[in-house]
Amino acid sequence: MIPLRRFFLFAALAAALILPSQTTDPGGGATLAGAPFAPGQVLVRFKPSVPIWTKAASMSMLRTRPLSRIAALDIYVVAIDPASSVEEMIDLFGRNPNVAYAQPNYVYKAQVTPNDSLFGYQYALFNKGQQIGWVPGSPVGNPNADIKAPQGWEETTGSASVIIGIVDTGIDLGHPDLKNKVVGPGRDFVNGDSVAADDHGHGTMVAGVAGAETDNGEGIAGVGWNCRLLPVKVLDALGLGTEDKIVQGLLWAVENGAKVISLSFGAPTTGPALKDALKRIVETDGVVVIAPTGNDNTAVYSPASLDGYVLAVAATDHNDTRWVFSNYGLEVDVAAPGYQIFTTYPVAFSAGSLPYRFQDGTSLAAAHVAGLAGLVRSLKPGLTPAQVMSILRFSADDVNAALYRGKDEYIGWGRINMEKALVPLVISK
Amino acid sequence: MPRTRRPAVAGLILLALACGLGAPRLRAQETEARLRILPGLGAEYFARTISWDEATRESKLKAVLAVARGELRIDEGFSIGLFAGYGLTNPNGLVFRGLPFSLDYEAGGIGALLIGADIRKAFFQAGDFEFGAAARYERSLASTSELAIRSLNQDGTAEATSSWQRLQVGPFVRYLGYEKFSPFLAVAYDKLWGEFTMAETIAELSGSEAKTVAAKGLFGIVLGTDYEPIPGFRLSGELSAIPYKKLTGGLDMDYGIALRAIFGL
Repeated sequence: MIPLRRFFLFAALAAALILPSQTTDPGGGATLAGAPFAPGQVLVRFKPSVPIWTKAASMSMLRTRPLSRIAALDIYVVAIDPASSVEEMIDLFGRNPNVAYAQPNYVYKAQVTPNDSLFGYQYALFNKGQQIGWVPGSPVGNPNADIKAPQGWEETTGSASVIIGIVDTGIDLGHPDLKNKVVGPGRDFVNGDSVAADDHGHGTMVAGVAGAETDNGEGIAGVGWNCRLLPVKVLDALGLGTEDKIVQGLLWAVENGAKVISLSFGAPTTGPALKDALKRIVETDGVVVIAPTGNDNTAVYSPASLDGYVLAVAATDHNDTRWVFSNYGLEVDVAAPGYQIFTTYPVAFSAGSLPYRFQDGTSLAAAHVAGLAGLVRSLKPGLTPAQVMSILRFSADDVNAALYRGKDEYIGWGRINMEKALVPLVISK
Repeated sequence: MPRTRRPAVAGLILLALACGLGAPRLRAQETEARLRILPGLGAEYFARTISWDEATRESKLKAVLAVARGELRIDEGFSIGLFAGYGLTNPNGLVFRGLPFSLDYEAGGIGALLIGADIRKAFFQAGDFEFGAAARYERSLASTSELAIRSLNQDGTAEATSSWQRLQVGPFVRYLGYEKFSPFLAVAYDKLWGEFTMAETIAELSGSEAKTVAAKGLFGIVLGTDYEPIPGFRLSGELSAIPYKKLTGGLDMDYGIALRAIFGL
């Protein structure tokens, strides 16, 4: 009587499913959802003393068949009945006292790694312990002392609609890694014209870190990947600029669509004019402003010191320790790599060599954070500047916790972590 | 009336009307009418593939339910059941990207009270086969689970709230040729829909996102049997299979299993 057999099959299956389920993952969380796995297959490892005929019977009872065996670990790749789901089979195998564990045959994929030819020099984005510098014998960093860029790019590579304003010495508008990323020629408030060319180099270096053309087969990768750059020149060929030019540059950048602004300069003090401008663009226009703490191992410079309006960024190195010249103080919010950062450099200053160089400075640390802020704004355009800044702070890794637990005056909340800032956090019991 | 309640109510009304129309014909075939209230217990497991974010994402919704039920047997072949109990709903895989920090729910079951009703009516017999229709509506009441967010440098909390409804309506055919078994086959319109809300608080950051979900498959088959090992005790088991179209293309199947025990016949 076929229905009779069916009934008992149903009942047995129902009992197995309704009874409290046990964890089949030795790590403690058999979570299938959200992670792709090979359909119709499970991996089963039996306990060491289980004889082969018992293994065969265990698989046969559940209408499964071995496809292959990883002999060194005695793990079977098992094909399951098409009428059963992987989750059900894992649950049923897990109830067998002879089974050490059963798991999905998870599918792994390469992380999003750009094909830029010099990406390997960017330890700040992906530190695998590579050499820091051109010269053989240069120091190597600690693997994972980086901002987790490939992991963060898994979630988003940003939007071209998000513009990062580089309010600086200008940008080399013809640089091969930047020319396709700039929104236009920008604005030069130093010379009073409409071409924000870089006659110093600083702005080009900052722009490369924040948003160099990425995955284009040459040069370096920019943290902001698809975000675009708006060149605004407020500092002259010596890297100096007056507050009136800076204020004009800031307001112009906002009028021309900047959602994030990198202000990679500083001074020991600030007049109320710059503070007024920052208050307006943050509170009224909803722009996120990033600034470096300074490179003199002294108190935090302004405008980074203007808490509430500006996210102050200190610098770390290839070992996740504070860069020795990074300024410090209670205003420090986060840190990012700022030592020996490989970035774009003006073609005109490169004397025939590749237009890239290694450079130190909290400006480059701030540029990493500006790129990440661009990605956050791309992913969540409805957030306020205060919320974006909180995300950058709370997702940072407290890499000096052994010395200063929690927020401290050297690296603030810690070195930024793109993965935590962008990728959904897994919440489990 | 909220739009989401209309299919449930409409389905129950239609089935009640259908049962009412069929009742006189059956009554004419019987010698006496019986009206009894029968207690029972029930348990159910199902895993349904749900879509969300405007059907651009999908994940599994699993539920384990245990209920106490009362069955009003109005007539031979005509019964109405009411049930209430407790259920664990597991929406693992739901991702909330509308929060300041996106959250991927992997925290397992959310416990909630469950209520529902079912109705079954046999319309006529042909040989050893009985033909009829059945409907069931169940609702997992809104319930909240509080979870800790510990992966950041600021601890936070997340509150996951789950609620869903399910309506099954369809005809069945039952074989009456065995003494103690009566296997049946049904085709069911099986709609499941619900709302999951996640609220997040991390220091001064806070946000909330509500996600409407709906099961992808709508029609399935149910295969089961009633078994009466001794007079006055009936066991009922059924397996349901609901095909659905995967987001990545191709068809797949969702399954469910239910067991019921009814005392006093």
